[in-house]
Amino acid sequence: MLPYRAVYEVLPGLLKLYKEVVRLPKNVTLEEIAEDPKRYPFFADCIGALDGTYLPISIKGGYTKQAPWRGRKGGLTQNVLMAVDFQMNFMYVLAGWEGTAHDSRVINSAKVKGFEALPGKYYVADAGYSNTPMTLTPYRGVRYHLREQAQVNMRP
Amino acid sequence: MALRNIVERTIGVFKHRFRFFEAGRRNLPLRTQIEVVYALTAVYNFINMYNPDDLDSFQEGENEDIDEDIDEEDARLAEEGSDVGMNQRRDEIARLMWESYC
Repeated sequence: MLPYRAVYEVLPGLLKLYKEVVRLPKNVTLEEIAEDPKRYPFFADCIGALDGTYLPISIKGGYTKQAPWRGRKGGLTQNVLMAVDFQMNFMYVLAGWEGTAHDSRVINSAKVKGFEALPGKYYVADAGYSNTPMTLTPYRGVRYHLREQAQVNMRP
Repeated sequence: MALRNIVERTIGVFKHRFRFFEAGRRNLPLRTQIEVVYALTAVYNFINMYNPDDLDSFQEGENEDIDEDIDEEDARLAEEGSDVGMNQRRDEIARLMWESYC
């Protein structure tokens, strides 16, 4: 069993640390992109990648209270939005949405809470998100990796 | 590797590194459970800054997030919410990539 007292002892400090180390990016083209001819200049304005994931959560109070948290992969989960840079650091996190919440709802809530990209900059995201000025998403139902496309003689 | 995979890998490493918390969260109030997620992402970033080797125990195959499993309803809502200007920008990026590839 985890010593809960210890959780409460370290939590305030770690939440302060969070404010110091989980930060939105600056307005620069990332080295990882600038130095890769496959990515530059196409993704010069990409400042990171984001995705939603499910983390387990424990909800007391019976079935009615638990229902919104019962995600599509089974079990009680929260839908957590996470944005990262290309050194694999978290830049933004929004936790605490019910497992049944749609990704679009979670990101809209994040935007209200201050998740942003500087004008013209964007995060790359999967097709669970809208293609918007802040989130560049792949075409749906299209083959990826240009070599595959060349094989079937198809333009992206 | 797709640019986007970096987030799936990061989440995979994060979940693996802090998998102990699966068992530890049960008797905590909801609010605390949520705060712990923020706390652990801070710890993750801290380790990644000062001693990233400590995150290395993760194996690629353990990453459940790498699949392209997108909920149909999520994808439908996503398409509805897409922006005309950004769709054009995406077309332009695709065109430039295609031309440089040919």
